[in-house]
Amino acid sequence: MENYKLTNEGKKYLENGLPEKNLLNILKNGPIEFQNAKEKIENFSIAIQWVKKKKLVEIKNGKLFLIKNIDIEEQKCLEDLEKGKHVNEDILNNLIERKLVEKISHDVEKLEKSITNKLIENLTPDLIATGLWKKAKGFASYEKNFSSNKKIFQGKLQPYRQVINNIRQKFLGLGFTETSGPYIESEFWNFDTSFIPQNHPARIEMHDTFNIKSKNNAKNSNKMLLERVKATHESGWITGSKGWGKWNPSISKNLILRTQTTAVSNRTMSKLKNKDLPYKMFTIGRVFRKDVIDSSHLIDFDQLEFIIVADDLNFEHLLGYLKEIGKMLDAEEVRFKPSFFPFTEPSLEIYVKIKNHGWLEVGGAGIMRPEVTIPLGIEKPVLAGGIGLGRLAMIKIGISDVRDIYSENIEWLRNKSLIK
Amino acid sequence: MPNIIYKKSELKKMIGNKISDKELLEIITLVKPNIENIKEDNILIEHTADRPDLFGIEGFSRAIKNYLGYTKGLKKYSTRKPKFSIKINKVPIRPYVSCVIIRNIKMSEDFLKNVINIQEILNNSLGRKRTIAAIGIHDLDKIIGKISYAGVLRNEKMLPLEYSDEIELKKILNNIEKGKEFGKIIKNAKFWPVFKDEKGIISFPPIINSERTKITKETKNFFIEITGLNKKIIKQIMNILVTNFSDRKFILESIKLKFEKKSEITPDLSQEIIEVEINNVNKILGTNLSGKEIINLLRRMGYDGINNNGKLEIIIPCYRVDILHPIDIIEDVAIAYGYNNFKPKIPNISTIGNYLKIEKISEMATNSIIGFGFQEIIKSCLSNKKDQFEKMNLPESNIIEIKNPISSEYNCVRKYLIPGIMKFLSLNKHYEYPQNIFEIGDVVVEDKTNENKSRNERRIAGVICYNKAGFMEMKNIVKSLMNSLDVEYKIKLSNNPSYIQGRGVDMYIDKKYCGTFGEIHPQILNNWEINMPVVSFEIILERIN
Repeated sequence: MENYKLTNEGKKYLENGLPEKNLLNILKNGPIEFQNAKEKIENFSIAIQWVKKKKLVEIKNGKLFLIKNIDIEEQKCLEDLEKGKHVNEDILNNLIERKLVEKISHDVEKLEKSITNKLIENLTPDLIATGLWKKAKGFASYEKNFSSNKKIFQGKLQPYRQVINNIRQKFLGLGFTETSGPYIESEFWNFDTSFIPQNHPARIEMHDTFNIKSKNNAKNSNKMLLERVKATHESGWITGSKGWGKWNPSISKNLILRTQTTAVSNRTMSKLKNKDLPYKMFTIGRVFRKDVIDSSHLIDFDQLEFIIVADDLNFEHLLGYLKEIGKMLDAEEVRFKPSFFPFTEPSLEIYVKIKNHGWLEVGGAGIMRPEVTIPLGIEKPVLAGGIGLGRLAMIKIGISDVRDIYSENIEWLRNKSLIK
Repeated sequence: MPNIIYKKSELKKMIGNKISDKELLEIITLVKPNIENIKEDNILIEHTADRPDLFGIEGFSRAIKNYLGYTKGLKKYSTRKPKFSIKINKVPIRPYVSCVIIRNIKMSEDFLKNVINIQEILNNSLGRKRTIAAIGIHDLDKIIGKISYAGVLRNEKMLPLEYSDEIELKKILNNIEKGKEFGKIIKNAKFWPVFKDEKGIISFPPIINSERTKITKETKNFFIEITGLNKKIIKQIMNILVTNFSDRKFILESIKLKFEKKSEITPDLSQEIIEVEINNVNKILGTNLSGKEIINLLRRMGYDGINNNGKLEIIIPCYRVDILHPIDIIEDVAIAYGYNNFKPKIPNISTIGNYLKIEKISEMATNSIIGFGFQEIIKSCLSNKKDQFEKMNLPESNIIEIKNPISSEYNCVRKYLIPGIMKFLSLNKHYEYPQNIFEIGDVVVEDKTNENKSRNERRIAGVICYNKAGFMEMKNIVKSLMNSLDVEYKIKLSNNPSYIQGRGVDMYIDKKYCGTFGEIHPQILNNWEINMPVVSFEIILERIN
């Protein structure tokens, strides 16, 4: 029997005797107290289990009585196995089950031959389990393989997502609540509530705007808001404005792909209650512009927009937040320049100085016009700003063509390191 | 908005030549416009839409001179009394008219170019490509006898600009470039608007002027007519034009317009007054300015005003078209003060930021799928029906289509993510496999119950693509993904024709459809020219709670 060998436990029993054999030896001299036997015999529970199974011992009134004294075949079997003799298969299986004996595979022997006094190329589970690694001369050095270039592909976030996530985390950290809105908007929410006149070029000529083919127009469920917006456009309503003149409710129902995220701010403001104040909100989402796609223009891209609503906010506070946001975007310096947006006044553009890139315009901001806020039911000042994520992302990612934001090259994505 | 090229030397000359290049460029951005680029003597300026009074070099230099303090306060503009009267008949398609005569013009080639240029810019911007208002400028001295404005039938004839023969008006619409471009504005009217003198039609607004009264290098006096649909805008354009000419020291002469029942003298250069409270200025800007300081700042922006017990009565120059509300005046106070002279402050208000639930779920799904080694891709949300349906073997169903797409490649909003991923695979065939990629993002689906008849739906979709890609591998990944998201789901054999029959399933949470996965049918792989097995999944994250 060359294919089996004793386990460590098996070797112990070969030397000290199996527990059941030791128990029988004691009982040969007469019955003994259960408790007494338990103290004398190592692994008593194993001994009891086997003598009961073989009906050699009986327990009566707390004492153990020998029924039959036989030689324990398993003990002999252990001895024979150690000597390499042939043994009874049933007993052998019993010992294997008791984890006192284990099979030696031919492979292991081969392994032993193959490894002895040689260098180990691959460290395998067998070498570890059998300890055969000790018989080897040592381990082959891999130094010669260090220059190998085989790639593995890791799962990763797209670089642009990493930029967006970083900015998103920062806004959450500044106490802004995240919101979102639909891509398909009515002109009412996209333009009218932002006080953009109905004859604005973006509207009358579908200049920058994608219109939706639809049999149905938008519903406007908020009649009161509709009336207020209409009155504000036509004559300023109670906002103190002159208004733009005629306003046509049917134009406001046209469905379009939103051109700005302002609709999200406006929808949010329309639902804002006094108890929600002070309130800071931001949204990051796709907007759509009819344009020619080239190295600096996409037709759908992401905008970040934020508003702050609280008592007594003023222009200096707006600049304060923008400075803070500029720093958050890793700007070395932040400057402001007058600008124009239909929905804010005063309006400004934000310029940030980015290391190794110089000045970059990153967005616009302002105080929301009363013609926007009052119809939405907001009487407090509202600071608002928008950041174009495209150009910032391009700098962070290190690309010069905006189309690469939506990279279609798997090799580039695989090789790109993570964004700091 | 309009990008206009100016000659730096000319601009400096009009400002008074005292200014350095550096100073000039700095002042321009402080006033509002953007400098797009500078090439030798040419500066390309991007103006904002609210300040058409800055488009012309005269108005532009006027604003810079004011801001620098070379001139200060309100400039007075006046006209000579009318010598001419024009009979204005009813023309319903273009009812409003304003006219003026400009005398003592110092003509030059540059100025002529300048005039034609500013006319076009104002027609396009304030005139909304001539629909709302259009300008016609004529050589006054070539006009014969009395002028009238009337509606005429389309078979009347005129000699259009750059032509040598008289042409019927309807042929102008059909055959001449300007007629084709602007004809739609008046096409459907029975009577078309014209200005006539005693010899015939001199102008066919908003289409074209006559060759006979064309302005040239020899022109000394202008007759200008503006017609349109909106009286206010016509007045704005007129005032911008004539104040520009007046700044060149030309003489403005009014014209009496004789309507059927009344008469009117144009141009109207009267100035409006708007009340602005000192308190309100300081409250909005965070400043502590006195009434006098505010008025002084506003004088640098071309206004004037008086302090009436804390209420400032501000006189608005007649060329300013953007003042709707006192807030517009307050912005000009801020511009004069200098945006970078304010002291940025953070107010003492505390709020707690909160993320959107769907973003959290998206983040969880993303983290989970990245754990399986998937590379994220991000794509445009716009797609086309061919990619969304035909190439996926799907029957066409409701999808949001764009009425005015820029190309057939992007003519609808995506309804599924998988087609975009298939396209990605088809573009990366020469790179190493496996290509396991995913996308997470919004699609738009029709929803009649919604205000906008549609709604966004957040989805995650991905593919395994290599020579042994198969159903069981994806089944295990989806199982682990859903386990990570802590949702129980059931699967049912799918009839989705994108899959090999028997190797695709639909997923349900509480009997509600929530996604699908399976082995892509080889016909679809052929459609996309992908020569590698693909097994895909797409899950609606809104269904996961």
